[in-house]
Amino acid sequence: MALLRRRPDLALPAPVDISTLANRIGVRTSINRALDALDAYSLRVLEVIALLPSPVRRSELDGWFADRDATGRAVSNLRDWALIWGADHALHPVGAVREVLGPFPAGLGRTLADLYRAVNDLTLAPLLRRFGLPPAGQPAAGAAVADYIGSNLASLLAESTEEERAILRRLAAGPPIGTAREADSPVRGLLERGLLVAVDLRTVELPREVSLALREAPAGQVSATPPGLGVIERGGAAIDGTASTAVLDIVRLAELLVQAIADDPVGQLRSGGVGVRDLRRLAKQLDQAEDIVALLLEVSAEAGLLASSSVMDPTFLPTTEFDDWLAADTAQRWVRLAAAWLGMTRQPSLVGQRDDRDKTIAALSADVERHSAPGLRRQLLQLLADLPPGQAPDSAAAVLAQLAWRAPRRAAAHRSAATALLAEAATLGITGYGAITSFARALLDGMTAEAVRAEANAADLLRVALPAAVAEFLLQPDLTVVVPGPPTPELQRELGLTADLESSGGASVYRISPGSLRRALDAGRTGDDLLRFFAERSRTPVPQALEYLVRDAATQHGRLRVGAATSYLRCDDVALLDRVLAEPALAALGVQRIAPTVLVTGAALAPLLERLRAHGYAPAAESADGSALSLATEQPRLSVRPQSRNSRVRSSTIPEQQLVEVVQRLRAAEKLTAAINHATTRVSQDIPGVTSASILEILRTAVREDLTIAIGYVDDTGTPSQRTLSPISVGGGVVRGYDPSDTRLRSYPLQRITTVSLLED
Amino acid sequence: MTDGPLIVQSDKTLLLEVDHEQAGAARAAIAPFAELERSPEHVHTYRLTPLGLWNARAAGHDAEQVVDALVRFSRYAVPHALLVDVADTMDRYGRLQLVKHPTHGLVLVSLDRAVLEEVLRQKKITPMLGERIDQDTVAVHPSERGRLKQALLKVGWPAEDLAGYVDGEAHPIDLHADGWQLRDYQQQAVESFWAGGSGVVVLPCGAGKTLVGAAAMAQAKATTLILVTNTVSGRQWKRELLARTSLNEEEIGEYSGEKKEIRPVTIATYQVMTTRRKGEYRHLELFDSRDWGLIVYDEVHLLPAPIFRLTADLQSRRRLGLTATLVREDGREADVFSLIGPKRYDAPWKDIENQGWIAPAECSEVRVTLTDAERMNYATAEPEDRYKIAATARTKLPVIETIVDRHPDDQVLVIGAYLDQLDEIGEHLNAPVIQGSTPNKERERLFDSFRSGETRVLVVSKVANFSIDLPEAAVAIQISGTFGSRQEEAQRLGRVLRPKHDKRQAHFYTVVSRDTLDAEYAAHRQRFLAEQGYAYTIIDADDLLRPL
Repeated sequence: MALLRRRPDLALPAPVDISTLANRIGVRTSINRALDALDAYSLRVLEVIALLPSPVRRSELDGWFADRDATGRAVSNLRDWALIWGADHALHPVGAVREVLGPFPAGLGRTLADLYRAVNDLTLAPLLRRFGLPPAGQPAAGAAVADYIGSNLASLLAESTEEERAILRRLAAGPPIGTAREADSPVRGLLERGLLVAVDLRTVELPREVSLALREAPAGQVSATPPGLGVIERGGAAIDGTASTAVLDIVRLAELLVQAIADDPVGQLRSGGVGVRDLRRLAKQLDQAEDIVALLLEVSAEAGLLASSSVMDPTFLPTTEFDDWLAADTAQRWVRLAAAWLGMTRQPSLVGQRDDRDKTIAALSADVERHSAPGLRRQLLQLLADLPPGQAPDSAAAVLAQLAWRAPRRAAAHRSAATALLAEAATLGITGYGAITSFARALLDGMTAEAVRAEANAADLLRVALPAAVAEFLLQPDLTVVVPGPPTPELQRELGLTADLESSGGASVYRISPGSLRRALDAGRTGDDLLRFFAERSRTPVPQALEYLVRDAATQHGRLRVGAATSYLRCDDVALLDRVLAEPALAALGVQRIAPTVLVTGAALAPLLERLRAHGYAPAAESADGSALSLATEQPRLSVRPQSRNSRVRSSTIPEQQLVEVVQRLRAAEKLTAAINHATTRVSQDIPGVTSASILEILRTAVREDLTIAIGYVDDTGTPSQRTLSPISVGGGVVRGYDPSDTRLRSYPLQRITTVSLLED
Repeated sequence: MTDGPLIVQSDKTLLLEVDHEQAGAARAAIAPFAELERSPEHVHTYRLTPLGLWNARAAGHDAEQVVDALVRFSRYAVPHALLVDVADTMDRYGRLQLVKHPTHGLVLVSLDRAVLEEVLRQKKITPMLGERIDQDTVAVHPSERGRLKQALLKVGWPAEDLAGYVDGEAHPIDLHADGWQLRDYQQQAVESFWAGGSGVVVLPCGAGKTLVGAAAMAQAKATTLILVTNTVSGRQWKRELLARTSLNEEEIGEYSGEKKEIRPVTIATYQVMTTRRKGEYRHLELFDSRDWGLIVYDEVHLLPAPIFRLTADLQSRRRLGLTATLVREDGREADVFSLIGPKRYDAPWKDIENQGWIAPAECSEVRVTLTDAERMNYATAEPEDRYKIAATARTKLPVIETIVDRHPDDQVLVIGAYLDQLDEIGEHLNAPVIQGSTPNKERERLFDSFRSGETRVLVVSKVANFSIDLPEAAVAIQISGTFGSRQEEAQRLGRVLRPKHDKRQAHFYTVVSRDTLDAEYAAHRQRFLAEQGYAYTIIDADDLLRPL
């Protein structure tokens, strides 16, 4: 259990028995992930274990590390992670650990003996001469040189100049290889004395013995405890307070963004995502930097407020959940966004950067996907959460230094991502003054335990931190409205209708204009409603100019009337129309008078004519331009589309043989579907024609671990189908493998694959 | 969370609740670095801009003071990002300095080598710099001093100009303080200008900007070039200088379309300076004709583009800009900052009015309903003619007459933009008309007769928008304007704001045609005044015509 919690990837797909699990423990990718989560000290201990010939005795390590207790803790930690096995007198690294750690564990190069064994005679000759050794050929020469250097290391090192020493120190700290330029005289000097070994024309390597002789601690500089994190006492209220301003902003911006997309939907690029031009437009509309807008887009999409429509021309549109979200209060809205951010496998800071093919990475595209993101995010925030409440780290750099100890591999690989994550956390109000806020802390706790309760907790805490909502405002003679605090949702709705937002933050400033008033009138408010609203809610008297403006807008509004009618009746004789209106038999047609000489009805032209004629009137039909219209020849007809060719073909008979095949195929598909439904790992391809990293990952896993997969495939006529495959290789844009049913070798182009599922036999 | 009067918005505006008991203290604390954007009755809006923060930095304030002021008076928590941004922005000022090097002349010195490297890589800046003297010092061609400052401001590293000024040719000038003295705010304005070296003083129309100019000249005691908008206002400067300073008629020259005198104090118009003949500016030599110690720019917000270019060459002379508003319809505020100098003094109109230095004014908008025939004419007109049709509606005539009759004891100015309309009104009211084609002599005569009270009603075109001192005008009726120009509205109001001998109230009427473009433009123009705290009263023309 504990192991599976630490290395959750081992449980996916669920291992059938212990031997499968044991196998998986040693698999390269799994070890890679485990190493990413290891702290600097444990990692170094593991490196030393991997460096030494197995089995390693626990006491051997004491020669490498001064702090025995810490080393003991690290060893048991590594055992818990299932990265080493065996009792204290015989420790072994697990499976591919050596391979994953790379050629230079603990920053140490190969031994003298190993290095000189590989050197050619020509290079060895001057060394033999210099050391006064008898001329010889390989392998004896290499061994002799290595031996000599090993026993005279101190004196050889003592000959070094200051420049040479600097190079040696740098290489000794690791990694032990460097690039040598020809003119580099200090390097040449070292080569001549055998302290450096040229492994090829440009690269030199520092032998392990030389490194160890130079190092103060044999395993290199590594602290058994994390570096101190300087803190500033800010106080919980101040942290929450400053973050609450960010909360207000981000919630408002998310609303504006999605609203902007609703007003002018953003098309999806063919390669997926939002184009640079659209991103710029949104940034301009929101008056925010593009990276903020990219973050907002990603978070809103992750929170389900925004999605891409799946029609022919996909566009991004708000979802119905957006409306629910709008109805919630600020705290709940924020929780929704923050929770989405915490869990998302996307890295918005990639947007706008260039990918390997030098193409700009678009927001909401598959390229922003990073499976490492949630782990990194959680670890960074946990680091902040480990500080006592009210204390803020003194700088972002200090936080990153902490991370570098806690997870050195991760920190090194994701340094820029980690910096960006801290900035995102501040933008989102997860942190204030760099410290985690009480509400974000509550949310973080819910990541492992109960999410729903944690979200409610977070919302409650946030409500306390947010300034109290205000239900009144100040009206100014320049027709601006100032709400001196966050408005209540009701006030916000009403003001949003009658005025335009100009500035927001702690307070909101709205401007009333004829246009904004017209909008309110369009929504069904009357001029008196508006004046009453202003008078009731304003702390200051309503300026006369505003009164005039409202009255003017109200009089102007609705002077032109628009309605829907199907037919009209007109007649210059008002009395005749009176008669028609009074006719009880025509009441069913819903005839209404809109002007003395005009009647309208929702009934169609033909029944109206018929009814009028039946009652002794003599109406004439006219077209829109007033010319007479003859309806006499019109007979009722059904409008039917011509039958399509397909439907005619469909009605013909099918040969027996074909039927059998169909049934067979159906049954096979049924079985396959059942198997797919069983599958725990299934990835679909959202963007046709582009293979995402996750699909590739599954394919590669299947190749590596010899698994059977089901793929959704579209053939060259565009017909989708399901196929099963035991893949043997992925590459060159195709996946090759055997079809388990007939063991024939098949290959499928990757871009035609729409879904991939791992099947369990 | 305190209960302060200030709300800091994340878009860098500051809202100050005026009625709050700490409002005064908060205003004093934020005034040095925040620019007052609007000051209507209840809540004033300030804005944090890089220019404003640099202005504060130039005046010796540091980021800590700014942050402290924001946090101390803020009602809610202040966004952390904003505080960081303030500190960063202020830190950018003065990393580069322009100083006089004893051997190399004008040099650019950096206190931060990385900034200098960044700046040196700018393609636009490199040609203005000479050889690199050492790692932190680069020679600057003296002629590029202004353009370099402009360019550095554009890339966000404004240079502190410590290179000083030439004294210019000395000339004795003293203020003639008999029976009057500089008002407190005028004194402060001159002091902050002088301390800063060069810069702009912002004061409302009628608040005595000319005196600030005269006091600055008395401080400089050097030959002075004064640039004004037109001849009439130039003569006014001359009159004022003769009355208030020790200068005599012989010492003040006029350089205009009519006369070309160059004397220790020379008053030139923008127009003559920018006149070109055969593609060349003919009168540029004026700038070099004397060793000027001070250059005064009247109405800086109207400064035409060629003058900016000329000013760039005059960076070693002290420059004083005077204006009622830094709002430029062309958005060249940054050029004013880098070429003339930072804003040195600024006071809200209402404050000066409350001190009694400008006449209190009552602003009214009179709405006229067009006759049906006029409405039809308006509705069917070409879009480009519509404004004229609405603004010059004949229906306005009786209304104007009624307003004039309502103020039988006051001197009335009727201001409009369309000449045929002005002529018509002049005839109707039996009043003289001044317009662009009126010869200067005739203008002077009419203005004099108005000042002396002989003429009670004067109809003027937009020639009277600027700098014409008609102290006794107490009523202004605006009947048509230049589309929606906000500073035009401010200038016109300025005509009636000079304090009256009997502290009488001034009236400012705008007559507009209801439901037309005229009303729309009027609304736009009024915004500026409403933001300055003037409430508009709307009057229905029918109520005026049928007195209660």
